[in-house]
Amino acid sequence: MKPLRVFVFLCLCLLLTGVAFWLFPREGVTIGDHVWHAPDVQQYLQPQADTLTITLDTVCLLFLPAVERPQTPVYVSDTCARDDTYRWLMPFYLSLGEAKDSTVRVVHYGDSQIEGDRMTMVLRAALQARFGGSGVGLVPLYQTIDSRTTNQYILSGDGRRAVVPKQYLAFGPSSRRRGDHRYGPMGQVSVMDNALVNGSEDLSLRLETTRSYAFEQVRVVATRDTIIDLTDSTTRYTLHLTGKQDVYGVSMECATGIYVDNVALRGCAGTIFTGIDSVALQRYFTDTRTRLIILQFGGNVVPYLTTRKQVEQYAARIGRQLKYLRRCAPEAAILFVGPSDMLCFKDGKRQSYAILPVLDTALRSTIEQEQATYWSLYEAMGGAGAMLTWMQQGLAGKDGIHFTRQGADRAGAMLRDFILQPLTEQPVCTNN
Amino acid sequence: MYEQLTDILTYDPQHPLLFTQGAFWLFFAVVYGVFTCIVGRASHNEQKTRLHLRNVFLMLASWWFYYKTSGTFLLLLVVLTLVAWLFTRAMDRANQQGHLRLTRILLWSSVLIDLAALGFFKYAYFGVDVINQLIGTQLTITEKILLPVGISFYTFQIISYTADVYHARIRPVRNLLDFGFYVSFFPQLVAGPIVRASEFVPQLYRPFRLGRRQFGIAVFWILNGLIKKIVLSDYLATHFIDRVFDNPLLFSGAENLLALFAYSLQVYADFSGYTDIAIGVAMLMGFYLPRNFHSPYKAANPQEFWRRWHISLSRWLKTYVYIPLGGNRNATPATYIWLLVIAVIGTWLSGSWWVAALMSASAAVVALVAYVRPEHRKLLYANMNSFLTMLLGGLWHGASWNFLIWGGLNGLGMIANKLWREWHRAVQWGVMLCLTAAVFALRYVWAEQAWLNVACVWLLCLLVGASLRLLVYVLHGSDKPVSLAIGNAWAVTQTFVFITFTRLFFRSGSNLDPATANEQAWQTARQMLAQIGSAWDTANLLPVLWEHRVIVLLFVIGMLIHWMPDKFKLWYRIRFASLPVWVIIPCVVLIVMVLYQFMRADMQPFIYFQF
Repeated sequence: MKPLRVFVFLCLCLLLTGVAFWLFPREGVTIGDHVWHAPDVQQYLQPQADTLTITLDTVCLLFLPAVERPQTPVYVSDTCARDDTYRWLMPFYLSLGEAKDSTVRVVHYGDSQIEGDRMTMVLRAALQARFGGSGVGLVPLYQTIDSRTTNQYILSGDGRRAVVPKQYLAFGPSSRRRGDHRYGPMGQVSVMDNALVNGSEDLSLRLETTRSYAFEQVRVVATRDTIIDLTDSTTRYTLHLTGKQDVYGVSMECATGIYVDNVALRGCAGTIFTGIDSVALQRYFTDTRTRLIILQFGGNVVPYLTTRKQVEQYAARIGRQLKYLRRCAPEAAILFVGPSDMLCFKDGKRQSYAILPVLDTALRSTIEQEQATYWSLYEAMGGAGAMLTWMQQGLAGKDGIHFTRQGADRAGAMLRDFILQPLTEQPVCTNN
Repeated sequence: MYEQLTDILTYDPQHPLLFTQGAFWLFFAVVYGVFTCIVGRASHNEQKTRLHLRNVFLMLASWWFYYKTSGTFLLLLVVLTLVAWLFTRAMDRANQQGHLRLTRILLWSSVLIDLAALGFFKYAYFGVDVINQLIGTQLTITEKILLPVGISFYTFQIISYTADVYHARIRPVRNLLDFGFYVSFFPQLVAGPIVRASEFVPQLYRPFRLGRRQFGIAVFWILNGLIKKIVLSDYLATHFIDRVFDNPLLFSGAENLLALFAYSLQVYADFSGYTDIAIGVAMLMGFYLPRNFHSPYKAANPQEFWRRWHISLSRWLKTYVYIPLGGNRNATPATYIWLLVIAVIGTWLSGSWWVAALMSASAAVVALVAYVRPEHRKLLYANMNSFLTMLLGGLWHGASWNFLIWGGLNGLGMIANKLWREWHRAVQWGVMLCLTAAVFALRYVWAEQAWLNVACVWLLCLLVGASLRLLVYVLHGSDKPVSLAIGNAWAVTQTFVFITFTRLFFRSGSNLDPATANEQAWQTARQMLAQIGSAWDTANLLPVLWEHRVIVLLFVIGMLIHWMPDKFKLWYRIRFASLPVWVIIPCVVLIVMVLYQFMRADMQPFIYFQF
């Protein structure tokens, strides 16, 4: 074969490949569960690693007085320190002293019961008032269900219209899954790509919180984290994001203090963690010094549990999630909050699900076996039928399942009291 | 425009020129265009000049390719080439004039210069560490020493050329530019195969010739290599293996084991993928590189594995290390010197005197047996030399305790298997029973050691195999198993498992900062072994495997293709090569489009670039 023919062959292959890529739709072609893409010329010749350039918009800055950081000494009461209930939370209590010079993180995972920062905000307010820190913590780049009151944010392409980045979820409908399981600490990921979403313009993210949640720095949790120090506290800030990268969320915080993330996973039974790539989880828990993980699940499976065996199977699955999370966050204590009381119609009357006490016991047993702490919201509310009373008091919605805002505040206060109960300002027990 | 041109022409450490990028194929097309102009229709008188011009052009193109891959380290390549050429010329002259001593001095000087360059880049951190520990200095390496890409491959190639000229196996290349082309030919420059001068130099003076079917085969090798690299190697690495090796404690024992087996496939797909592309690209230019892999996981024992894996390096080690040590005839002073050196290095790297004691005791036992049983001396020396060769092969990969263990395990595996095959079935069974019992007893005493759990499981498997073979022998009174195929499949599986476990140490020591490699590599290997050897959550096994179903599926498919009969592979290779060119072109376009779906922006460089 003559070299000229080989040369023509090579040129034709390169040319036709280039043409095929050029003709390929930019948004890709969906084949089965996968979207097939074609590279642009730059990517075709030399693939570039995804990068995200983040710039700040100073126009929106509104400086507030510096956030105060109370420096109360931390002691754990003698009684509680010896109490088995609090035994596994000790690493968290002992880390609280570090909030003075550094940060301590609490991540509150839960189902729709904590959606909109409910319950979490009560705990956050108490912890930040006592140990310092300000800011709402981690929020997703794009919120599917805009229900938070502690912050608002608008993601826009050109300042007028809202744009929706490609988002994958570890929970909810299976069509939103991602093959490589890289979801990040919120169980969701937004694929920022200016080229796909917004032509060549950058994307703007305006963050706005209430005054009580002023923040001093913004952490963009992504394939590679970026921390932007604002030098002073503010409640408003606009980020401009240019480029392409997986973004797991944006955290509003300060350099020191305690932060509580509210991660609401609607419809989730709490068994999704093993389906999230551990690398990003571990990196987040380590980098943000996460010392307490609160899991509040169970409500979504209650209607489907009819036998003791099913309950045990669910409890075992939860046990596996705890094992996995412990491996991802070996320094964090884990607190599991069981399902609240829930009502169903039986014989034309509202009454609590009969399986709830069985589930509560099974979960407690599993959680304690996994060396974590269990707190029964069901018992704290008052046991069987309590939801009916809460409904009558305007603390629960008409569905007999979800709390109203007031009810969430009360439940949050109960959770707060449970967590903070062992802490005292009197040096009755060593805190080393 | 100017900036883009500068980007294309200059070195960017973030974007080396890789076979997996469109930029490389554009480069190749341009090179091929010029190549076509040079080698195209030439009269008989012009042919010599054209060949010379072709070689010079390809050398310059290779140098630019190396510059794009390794930057100013190109100077090192040029200097080493020049030094080797001058020394071999001088050696040849001295040899012809009968100055044997001078010839030998020139040989050693040339080899030492090459080894010094290699040693500096590979072992500088280790050397500084040793000096600091020995004489209490506080020397530090302020500028991070980067390893020039492919330095081992071209220094080995130069050493082989120098040694062949010394032994008068070949005549020295007269023309410096031709020699430069031989050393730096770009398809095989950065990761082999290590081409012997006797195989390649004659091709420098041969006119271009490429048959129609050879063309098809060349295209097949290129596509085959790209598929291996992008679909198997990179996908497995980025989606699973790297994550597990980065943090073994985050994953269960089953996941760690899966990662280890997947790594065995990854490293093969990566390295042999590179070689396939190199062979195909060279073939399109009318040059023929030797085969570097021959389905290594089909090997039924460790010796066979090393005859099938990285064949050019195995052959190099045999010719230039094993035989000079004494080969299978005797032990030379070099054998004992290297034994001592490795014992010292091993003790240093492991930080344990047990290593020195173990090696000294082994040497003493060998010496004693050689003294008492002179008829076994040859066997002992052969085994000792092959063991040392494997240890040196391990150290070549880097000054890490893990690489030394990897080399040692391979050496031990080869020796053990050689002895094993000479024993009677009953003796094999008895030895295996005793060994299994001993390890179980150790486990009973030393319960917390995870590696003992792994050893127990594996020895139990071997014992079952040995028992079945003995049973077949007793029942049939024949030394042959009932079914050779089953026996062979069992042997292939065991060899694969053994090689995979040695890779635990190999992979843990790879991709690391040389300054901290030793400690980190050892830690990773220990953690993985601890995870694999601790109690498995069997109830969780299926959900875990299901979560990694794509990885499992790719691994299974990869291994099945690997284990296909050679005849079948040859058949479809020829079928592809015989397709009309107008069919091959759309095939190439389609395959490239599919491959792109597997590509990630953070493409992995070829594993063996780092060695």
